[in-house]
Amino acid sequence: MSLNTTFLTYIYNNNLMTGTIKVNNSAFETGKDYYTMTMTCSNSRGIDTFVYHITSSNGNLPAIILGGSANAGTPWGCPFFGSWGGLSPYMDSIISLPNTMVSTLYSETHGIDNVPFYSYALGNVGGGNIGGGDAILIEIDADFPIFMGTPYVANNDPNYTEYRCTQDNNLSTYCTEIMVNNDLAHVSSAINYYSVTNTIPYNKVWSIQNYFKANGTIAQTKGYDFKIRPTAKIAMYVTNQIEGDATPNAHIVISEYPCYVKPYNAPDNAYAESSNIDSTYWWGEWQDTENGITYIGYGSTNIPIFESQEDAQKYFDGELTIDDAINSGDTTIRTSTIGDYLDTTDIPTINMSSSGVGVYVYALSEAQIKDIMSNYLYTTDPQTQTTIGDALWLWGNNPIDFMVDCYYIPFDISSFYTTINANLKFGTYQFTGTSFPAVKETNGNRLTLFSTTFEGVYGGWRDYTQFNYDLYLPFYGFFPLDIYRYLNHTIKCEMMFDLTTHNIRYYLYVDGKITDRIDASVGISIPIMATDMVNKSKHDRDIHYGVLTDSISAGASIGMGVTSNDFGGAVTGIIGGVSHIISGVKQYQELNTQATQGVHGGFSSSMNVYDVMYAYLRITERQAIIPSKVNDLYNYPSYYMGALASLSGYCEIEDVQLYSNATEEEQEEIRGLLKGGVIF
Amino acid sequence: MTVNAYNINLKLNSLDKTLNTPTQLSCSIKEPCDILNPVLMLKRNSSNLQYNYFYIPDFGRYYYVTSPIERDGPVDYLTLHCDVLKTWKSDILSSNGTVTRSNFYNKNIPEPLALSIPQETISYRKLSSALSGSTYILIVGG
Repeated sequence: MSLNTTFLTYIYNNNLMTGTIKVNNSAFETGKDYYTMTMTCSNSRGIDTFVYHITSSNGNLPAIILGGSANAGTPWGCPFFGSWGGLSPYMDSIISLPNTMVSTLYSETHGIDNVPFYSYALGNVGGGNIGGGDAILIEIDADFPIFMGTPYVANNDPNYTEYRCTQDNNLSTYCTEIMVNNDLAHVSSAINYYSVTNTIPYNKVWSIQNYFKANGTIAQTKGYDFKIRPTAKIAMYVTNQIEGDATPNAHIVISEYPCYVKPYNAPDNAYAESSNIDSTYWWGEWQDTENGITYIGYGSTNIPIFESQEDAQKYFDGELTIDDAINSGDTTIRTSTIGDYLDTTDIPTINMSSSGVGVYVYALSEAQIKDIMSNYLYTTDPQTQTTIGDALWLWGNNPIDFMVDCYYIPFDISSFYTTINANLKFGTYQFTGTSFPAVKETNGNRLTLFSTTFEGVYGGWRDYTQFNYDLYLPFYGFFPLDIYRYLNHTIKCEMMFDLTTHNIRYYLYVDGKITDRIDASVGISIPIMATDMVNKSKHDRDIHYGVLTDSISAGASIGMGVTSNDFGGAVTGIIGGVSHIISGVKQYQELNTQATQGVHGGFSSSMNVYDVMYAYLRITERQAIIPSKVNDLYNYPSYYMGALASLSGYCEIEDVQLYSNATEEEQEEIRGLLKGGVIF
Repeated sequence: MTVNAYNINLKLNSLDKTLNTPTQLSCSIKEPCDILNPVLMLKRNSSNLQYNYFYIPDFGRYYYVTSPIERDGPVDYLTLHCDVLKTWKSDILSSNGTVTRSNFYNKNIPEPLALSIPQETISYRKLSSALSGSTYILIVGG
């Protein structure tokens, strides 16, 4: 590279310094492909540690090597720094800058005054001079923490590698990344820090994404992106994975600092700080097949998921690694072989057959049921029996045998079933000219019993710990509500009624998703008493026919051919005739007997039709005494991790990370006082 | 040695204390000396009774008086204990920790200072209109 530029340096005298920073520029050494510059700085303020920041306003500066050793060492590409003056080591690195603007090249700390260090500029330093004379600015940051942390790679740019240290610097606003050209990289150690600016400093995004598969299409329905500080680990553990539960929960636990969260589909400027370190985010795959409905969800996340909170904490503590996560190495969408997602509104229907096969269900009033029993099924009214065939059918069959069930329910079923007026049909016989409301389909509709937003009384923790909420449903009783599932959500209750079994089924929804299913029963059986005219009719017909035959036979035997020898036979014959006569008389007598009677159905508890006919909520509050001035004196319960400088008022702090010159005994006392409560 | 003596409204668990203009007193330290629990020896004077807070420049620390003044002849003895909060206030403010009570309010965190008493109140909210009417269901076979 040809170097034809005078190397000039201007010094920016940081207002923290009271002294003068002197820079001695030396001439470039010709004949070598590097330049040297010596700068010395004097610090009359007596600050123990300070940082030199070297920035370039000229992005064309190709490379700068910085160091504090008088030994120039070899040209660029080789390290030559070391511990200087016995103080903390500083960076030895080669920095090659891309041909774009960069603001900061390098920074290091020094512990003494008059620190000489050397700068080497390589290549065309741009435009004939370095930034028109202000290419390199040296700024001093007096407030710099000593602890550096450990370095890590912060980017994947092919042109340069960006190293950062894990130690947050919340005292400086200067950015101090080290950038090393990958071709020239030789970084022995990155002993620097990066600062928190007004922009989100976190450089890694974790994401959680929830998918549904509906009708063969995979669609993302919910997801979040998280950014946390590189020193903070993030993990989830699975909870509440109850079989049949449609909404398993997974908790995210952040090891330390608050994080920034945004919905997955929101722009980057939507990140907002979230102080929640135990927030519940839905994720997971599950199935619910108990009610014949299958839900399938898919999850996708690059956050390590552990089986328990204990394991997640072990991960934070370093006892477990990411490899121990249950989703280790698996960040793709997992597929399920369970089946297709079914819409909850599609319930299989049963169509009634019009051919007479199957059952017929009539939804009747009291007057109508009496009308059927008295005027159609058990009657001799010739107007009903329009043909001999009708009469024969009625008299030759027992209608009670076709009766499957008859019961009473204390509400109108029109909300659940649609009826059409139809002829009364019993078995294969249909009464013409009749009109009774018949239910065509047995599937029914769901009645929305109520839909409301379930709000707490106090809008805070007391709504969860001091209250019990019980939902009363007709014919079921009280159903205890899981407050954590239902509070501050929209709850809907749908009611279904099964005609054939008198069962009621309630579905509870939270924000449109089924969370509970409750079964109840209603109705009382109506016993139907009927006379068995079938056998009676048949018996009577037989009797009539049988007597005529016997009479002729008996008549033939009376008083004919009686001899001394046949006396017995004649007597027998007479006796036989008499017996026939007797049997005929007996049968005639049987004509006057009643047909047997039977009862269909039986009595069931009438309590099953008496109940509160609407849904209501019973709210039980256990009283809690909270002193009126407790928050004035003792502030509020918190769970915040971070710097103590932002606190005010009474505060209690645990696990203090104290960096101080205080003695160990003093530090222990400080920790004890902070834990017991200190007024900031 | 010279110490700064104060009479202030002392709140021991306050991170900072509002200090008025100090009175500089000449005194000695009773030896052997514990830097965290020194005993000052002052010339007997009734005004010594008013001082409850001190700064000892030689130790670079603030102290509060822990026990009543003891008198032995011409000497008043004041037993002090280091006020670590005031002394190391800047270090404390630059530290991090887990804050369990503070001005950062999270309404969903239960208040541990609340006391539950065995008293319940019950209220009701009607959620739906009543089911009405009646129906006889007749199911017949075909």
